[in-house]
Order: sequence, then structure tokens, then C-alpha cells
Amino acid sequence: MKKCIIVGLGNPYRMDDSVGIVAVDELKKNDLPSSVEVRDGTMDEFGLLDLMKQTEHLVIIDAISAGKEPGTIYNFDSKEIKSMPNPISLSLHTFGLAGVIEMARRMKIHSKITIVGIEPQSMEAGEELTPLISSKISELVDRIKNIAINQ
Amino acid sequence: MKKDVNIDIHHVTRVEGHGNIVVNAVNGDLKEVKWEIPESPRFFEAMLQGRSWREASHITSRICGICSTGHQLASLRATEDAFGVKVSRQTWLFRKLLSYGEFIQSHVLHLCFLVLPDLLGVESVIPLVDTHPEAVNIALRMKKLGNDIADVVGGRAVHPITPCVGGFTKFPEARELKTLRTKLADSMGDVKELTKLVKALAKKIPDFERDTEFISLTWDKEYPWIDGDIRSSDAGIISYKDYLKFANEFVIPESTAKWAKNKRSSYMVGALARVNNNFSQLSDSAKKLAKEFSLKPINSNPFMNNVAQLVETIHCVEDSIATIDAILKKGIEEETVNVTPRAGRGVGAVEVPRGILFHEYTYDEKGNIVSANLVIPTNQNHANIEDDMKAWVPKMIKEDTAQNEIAHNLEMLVRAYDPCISCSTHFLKVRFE
Repeated sequence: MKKCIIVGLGNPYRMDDSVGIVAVDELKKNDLPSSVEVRDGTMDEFGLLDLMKQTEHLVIIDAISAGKEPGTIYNFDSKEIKSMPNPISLSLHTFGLAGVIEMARRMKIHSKITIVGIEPQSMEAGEELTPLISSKISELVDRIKNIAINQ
Repeated sequence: MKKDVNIDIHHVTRVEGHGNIVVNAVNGDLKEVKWEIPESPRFFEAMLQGRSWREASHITSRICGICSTGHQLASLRATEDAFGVKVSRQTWLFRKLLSYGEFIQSHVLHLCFLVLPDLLGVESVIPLVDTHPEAVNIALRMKKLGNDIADVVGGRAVHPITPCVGGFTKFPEARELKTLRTKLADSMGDVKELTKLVKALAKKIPDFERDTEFISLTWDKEYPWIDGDIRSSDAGIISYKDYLKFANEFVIPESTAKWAKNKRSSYMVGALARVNNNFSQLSDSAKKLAKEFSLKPINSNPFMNNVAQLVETIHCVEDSIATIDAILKKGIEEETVNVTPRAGRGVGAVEVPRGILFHEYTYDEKGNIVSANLVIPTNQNHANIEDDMKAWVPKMIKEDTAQNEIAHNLEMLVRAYDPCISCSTHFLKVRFE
């Protein structure tokens, strides 16, 4: 079992919503311990359950819209999530991260889950990050590395 | 007992996309029943205009993440039909296998995550993790199996990469197919367990029937997935090229998705339509399973669409194994794909989990799309859903069913169709006056 798997989520055609994918591409250029694995997030939410079973610590990277200034970097443990979307709204297409985390909890999948992200500036159609978010990638990658190696 | 009924459900739960149910009855008289689609339009038909034949399948696979393979296969068939491109048997076998991956994961996930909560009287799959963990685990394993098939054959679990006009850009290796074969064989245990679970709940399947027209592919060679012509249970068989004779789309004010009709005010597509129209071609195990649920043609209970999904799942698993065996017996051969674009019209008609799907493209001489028409299974089911509601609500009122139970039953009805609503809202023409 891997000590840590890092996975980046996002949409490569929605500007800053691609930040998870861009961060993962940058991480792959870094020297990381062999106990840390970096994965492409081309999967549905249920694929995350599979990843959780393979590691002690899953680090998920994504754009996070939480109302703070664009470029703000967040990281939190999944246990800090106090509420989840109304469960009766869950469908195959919109199960969502919170739904998967709740399922993992009930399935007694014990891997630690850390969510790391950045407040986007724009998620309009486009293939590039905004200049602001692009300038934050280095800092984001350093934060992720620190969490993956030291936590 | 005559009574008033007022139901206004915004955003039916546990379906993909947004749909509203409106029911009004005064003193037992039904005044209004509506199935409304407020989902935002997607504009794919417009997006395709001016695009190259090389791009069409990649663009249209983005219509959906669950049925991306189906859209891609329909798109490829439409372009191949327009250009007169024939594919090899090897390509055909690989495409069928790819399609099976989509059916297996879609049907099982729908049954376990969206239908079982209804049959067990809970609000979502989340409580099932505690009460029926085996069902949840089966769904996740079969979902992974479907994804593995897409990954091996199509190069990626969602929005496959390797299928192209005329064939594939890359075929899998024999060892990858052998691994898949083992996983498929192992999954039969899960299918049997799921069957036991659904059988134990069979008495909870609502007993509602309405005489319905069923439309699906039909093919003289085998149960149809990616080949054949079009069969209507009312009107017989027509060439797939003439699909517009059956799929008569129309616009209604309450819906951003088009509706469709043929001989009646509506028709049904999907697993039940396929099973009704092609029952004799199911595998022996699938036919046996159907009979255990008293499912035989023509069955007009829309809730039996979910039993039909289970029946098709067992067929898909068995024929996936047979398809891999056929490929490996001959050996995987390199292919060279030569495509010469030309002006013309082409139609691709394939079955996807939710029903028959049509892609039609008209190309110019350079191979760029001049116009496109996409007729989605859920488009074709919207009118039938409303007609089912119109028939069922008066019965429930007459039986003095409580309003909240009527509302819940109508939501269950919508879920039985396994609709993919945002797939169906792909085009809206606007005229400013």
C-alpha cells in the first residue's frame, strides 16, 4: 500500500478548473519519495474510492470555490467537512466529492483524505489558467509536496 | 373518494439532469399532468457545424460522461455511412466489446444506486452502504469492470481515445484482453448476487401497464447493439437511414428538450424496448432470467425496464467473453485505415444503455460538417413518460392513494426510464419576434 497518492481533478477546458491537472503535471517533474505516487485524475468519483483503498493518505487537488480572494490556497482534512449535499439529490452524474467521502466513511475505508485547492479566478471556457492562478502553481505544488511527504 | 391533488416537484431526485413533475386534480378530475424539462440546452448540433470529420466523434462523446462510448460509436458510424467506409470484423468485435463495457457499468450502477433505494424505501444509496453493502460493492466492482473494458479497448475509461473513423488508432494487446476475460468471468458471481437481490424485491415493482409503442434496433444476425435497422412494435422495420420516419421530434413549451412520437402520441426506447423487440436473440441465460421475472414480449410495464437492464447485463457479460474469445482465436492484426472524405449524408444508429441513439451528419466535399441532427434516447422517452403519468395518476386517484405516495410513485416512474436529461437538451432554436 502506498503511503500517499496525489490525484488532480478538473476540467482542462474550463480555465482555472484545470488547476488540479496542471498541478499534477508539475508534480510529476519533481523528485518525490517512492512512497508517494502522483496520478492523473481522469476518472469518475467512484474511482476515488478505489484510490482510497490503495493508500494510507489520498491527497486530492482541485479548484475550490469557497468565497475568498482568487488565488487563495486551501487545504483541509476531509473530516473537517461538516455537511454534505442533500443525499436525495445524488445521481450517477452528480455524486460529488462529498458523497464519495461519506460513502468511504460508511464503508470504513480508513485512508486519510486531504483536499488541497485554490480559489479560481475564472472557470469560463478556455484551455489556459488565468495569469493569477498560473502564478500560484509553484506555491500550490510546494504546499502539496509538504502535505504528501510530511503528513 | 374524490379529492384535490396538487403536486409540483422541482428537480426529480436520483436522475441525471433536471426535470419537474406537475399534477393538478380537482375533486378527482385530472386537470393537468406535465413532465417539464428545464435543463439548459447544450447546442451540440450547432457546435458540429463546420467541424472536420476527424473531430466529430471526439466532440460528441463529450455530450455525456456515462454514455460517451455510445455517442462516439454513433458518430463514427454516421461518418462512415456518409463516406462509404466499411470496417473490418476485428474492428466490429472491438467496438461491440467497448459498447458492452458501457452497458455493464451503466445498467448495474443504475440498478444499485438509483433503483434499489426505491425498492428498499430509502432516499439514496448512502444508507445502503450500511444495510446492503453487498449491493454497493457489486455496483462499484461492475463499474470498475466497465471502466477497465473502456480503458483497455478505448484507451481511456471516459471519452475513449482510440476509436476512429474506419477502425482504431491502436488495438489492445492479447494479454490485456486475457486479463479482461478473467475479470468478466469473475463478475458472473456478482451478477448472480444482484439477481438474487432484485428477485427478493420483485414484489415491490409497481404493477402499472399501458399499451405502448416500443422502438429499438433490430438485426437478423444477433441481439442488436451497434448494427441493424429500426423496429417499431407498431409499425414494423425500416432502414436505419430512414430513422426520421419513426423519430418524429417536436418541441413543447415546457421543455428545453425535444420530444418524439411515431404511431401514437409517444413511444418508448431503452432496455425494455430492446428486449420486447428482440427477445429471441438474447443469450440462453438472459432469456432464462427474463422468464424468472415473467418478462416476455410485449411487456408494457415501464418499471420492468429495470428488470430488462438486469437481463441485458447478463447477456453483455457472457457475450463480452465470447467476443474476446473470437478476437483472440484469430489473433489481433494491425490495420491500416484509409478514409477519403466526400460530400454526402450519413446516419449512425446504435443502442446505448438508455435506448436507440441517432447521429446524422451532412458533409461537404472537404469533409466538414454542414449540418447535424442528434436524436437522443431520453429525448425519445420524454413524451412516453408524460403519457404514463397521464394514465397512472387517474388510477391512483381512484384508488385513493395519498398525495405524497402519488408524488413518490411518479418520481419512481421517471427513474425507471434511467433518463439522461442533460444528454437530451442538445439543441434549441430561438426565434425573436
